[in-house]
Amino acid sequence: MKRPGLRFWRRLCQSGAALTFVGVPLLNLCEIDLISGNLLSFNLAGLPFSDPLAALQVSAATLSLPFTLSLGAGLALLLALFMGPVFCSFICPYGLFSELAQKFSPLRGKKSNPGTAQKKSLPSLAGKIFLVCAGLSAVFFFAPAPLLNQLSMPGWYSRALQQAILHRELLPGAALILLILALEVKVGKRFWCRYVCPQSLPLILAARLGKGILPQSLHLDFQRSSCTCPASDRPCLAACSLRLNPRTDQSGQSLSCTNCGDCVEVCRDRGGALRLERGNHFPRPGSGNSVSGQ
Amino acid sequence: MAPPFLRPPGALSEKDLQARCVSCGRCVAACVYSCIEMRPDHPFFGGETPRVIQGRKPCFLCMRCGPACPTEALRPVFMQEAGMGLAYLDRKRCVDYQTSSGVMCWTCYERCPLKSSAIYLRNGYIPTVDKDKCVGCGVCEYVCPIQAITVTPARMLPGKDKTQGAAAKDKGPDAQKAGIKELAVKLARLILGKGAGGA
Repeated sequence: MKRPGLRFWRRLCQSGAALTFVGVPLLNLCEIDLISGNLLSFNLAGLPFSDPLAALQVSAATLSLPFTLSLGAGLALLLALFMGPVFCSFICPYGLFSELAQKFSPLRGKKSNPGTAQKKSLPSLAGKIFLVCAGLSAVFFFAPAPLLNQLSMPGWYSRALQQAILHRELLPGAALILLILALEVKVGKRFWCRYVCPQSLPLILAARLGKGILPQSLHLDFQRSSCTCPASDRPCLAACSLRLNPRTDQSGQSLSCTNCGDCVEVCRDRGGALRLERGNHFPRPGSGNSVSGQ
Repeated sequence: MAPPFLRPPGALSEKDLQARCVSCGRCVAACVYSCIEMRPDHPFFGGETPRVIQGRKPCFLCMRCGPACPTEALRPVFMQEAGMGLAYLDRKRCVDYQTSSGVMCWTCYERCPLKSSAIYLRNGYIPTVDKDKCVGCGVCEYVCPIQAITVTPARMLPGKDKTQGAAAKDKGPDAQKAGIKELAVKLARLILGKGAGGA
């Protein structure tokens, strides 16, 4: 029997997270508050997790660092520091819906220029950087309220469920999620996650920092010499739902890569040139023990 | 129109609460009596913030929401510092004040979480609200059989909003921001002044 691959476990994690936020308000309704909150701030048996962007906004609005919120945000950033932005690929329920929407999209076969986002990884983040800066400035100068939370799709997902189950009220965010999913199917591949989602920016930056300072941080590794695919057939490019090019060495890995492992999965049966590794698995060319050409 | 509501115990002033609350709803889960509801402050743009709608279910002062709040929008306070509002008893309606009625209701007195303190019996039989000790939990308004009591939320009481709960001890974010802006202006003047002097 074939061992389940990384994608199976990823889907399991995503589905588990999506179902968790259905279960949490139900448990709370039964007066069990061992687990409470939503994806903006969450408490699991006393261990807090918070959205780092929500914590940033509160800090900008009040010029203070609430301890529990900061601790929760710190834990989320620590995870990103060691594992990369795996929240986006393994936990975010909106990410799951977005991927499923792409999978069942009628435009699925019409892929145009996969991998083009790789060359412009920083410009692709420019929109997010602008949005976060504008949002934080607005929070600081004009409207002291966490405005950017209104653009958090996982936040809306968990808030809408919480509100529907606990208070029997439908939030406009539920309609917003459906609208954006419909737009994603129509306009292009996961544009919200790639260009808009402000929540992912602190995680991406923490992951980048982790890659720089922690040699053991999780990253995608590519060994060009092991790649057996012809230039005309690049299944790894087609597999990437964020339209990135995984065929670069570690230092050239896109900032937007969420370590989802979809490219690794398709590469496994080919040459195994792509791997999710902690530390430098493949010796780099010029390091003296390069395996290139063997 | 939204029903009249109170903020939960230990809530910061209205502006600070809206600045801090991330709509996580942990106060709702923590509340033993399920008194807290999350309701949006604006139909489209505002996040949901915690409310106690005293007409539906008042706050019984279990005081578990404050410790649960991760952003300190609700502070952990004692019952006596809940600072949610102030009860007003209409003597013309309350049957205990009508000498001719011959009725001793005392429901508000009996059900008040701060019995004998926030509501006491003047002369041994007339329920009276102590303005300094009433925290505005809304129980009296909820239980009064003839709606003789109304609780005014702290945010509508002049001078009370800023002193709600433990927030009074803190310097507000506005003052801090003003300080930062003042510092920036001073720095700019210093730099510009030096530049002008050097030229």
